[in-house]
Amino acid sequence: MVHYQDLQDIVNLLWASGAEAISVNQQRVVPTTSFFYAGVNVLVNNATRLSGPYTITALGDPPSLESGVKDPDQLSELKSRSRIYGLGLSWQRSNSLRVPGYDASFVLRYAQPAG
Amino acid sequence: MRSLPAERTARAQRLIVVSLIALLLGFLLVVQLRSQALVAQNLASQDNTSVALLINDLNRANTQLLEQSVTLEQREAALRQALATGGADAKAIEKELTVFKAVAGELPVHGSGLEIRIEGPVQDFEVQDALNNLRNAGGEAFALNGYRIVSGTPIMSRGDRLMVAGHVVAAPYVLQAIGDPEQLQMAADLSTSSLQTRVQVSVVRKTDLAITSVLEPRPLVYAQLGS
Repeated sequence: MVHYQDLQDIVNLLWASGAEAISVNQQRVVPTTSFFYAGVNVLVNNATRLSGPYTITALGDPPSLESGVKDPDQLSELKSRSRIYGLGLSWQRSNSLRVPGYDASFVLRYAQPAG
Repeated sequence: MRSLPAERTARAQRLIVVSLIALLLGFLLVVQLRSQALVAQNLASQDNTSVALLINDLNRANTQLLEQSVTLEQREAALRQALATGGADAKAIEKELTVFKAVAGELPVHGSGLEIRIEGPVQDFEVQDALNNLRNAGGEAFALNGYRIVSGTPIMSRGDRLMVAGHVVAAPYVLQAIGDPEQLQMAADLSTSSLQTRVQVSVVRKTDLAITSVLEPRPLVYAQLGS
């Protein structure tokens, strides 16, 4: 089973590897994005429920992104679980990917811009 | 008076209609029973605490969406008005841009929230998990040891230290979050419960917390704007 923390870890790793835009199952990851469990599914952006298989799309320098996910020190727990339980973790480079726009809007109720 | 064949035809038609309605009702009943069984099966595989947490999360998400819906309707009205006046109402557009910049961490912000102080070493995934839980609780702006954080900010462990977007930070770690203090407190308690078994952690609610650090807009090299 894929946990919400797994998606969170992959997304964090991709940001650290230089990703410029990311989506998970066509849901855009934005500055306020969070992942949480919703039963056997994953709640993303506090609104949309995702279910497997999970496809994470990242735009950025393909070699940098790939070396991030290939690094044996990264995602080691997920990779190990994938080997044991056959989660089907895989990745591939592409020269033409699309990441959809955020389909909601940002609302600030507490953080007031200063100045 | 109708002829006998016409009456037979009418009766046959009525019979067909009644049969179709009965079939449809039967189908709907089966769908309903199957859906209920599926939901029950999904819920049965989870313990009571998980189900309670799930219901709580969904209720909260629902409330937030309703609130967001009202705000968005107001904003839509303001933008429509701006459009109708030929863009004369630039104030509404400017306000929208300000929100975008604040969300992207490009503007200093202040507001109610809380401050989490961690006195010992933590790992990157622990901080990321805490941030994720705080965001899920509606956190709107964050900083760690003075460095502004959005979801795209890389946080990596380097031994006992942390790297926040390439900057080394060390204990004590002070994580600031702006949002509803009550909701944030619950998320913080969830995140720090395991941390507290090995390091000293304090969580303090603030009525007005200032996050003054900002992020520079990042130029896009690979991601091109699509249509």
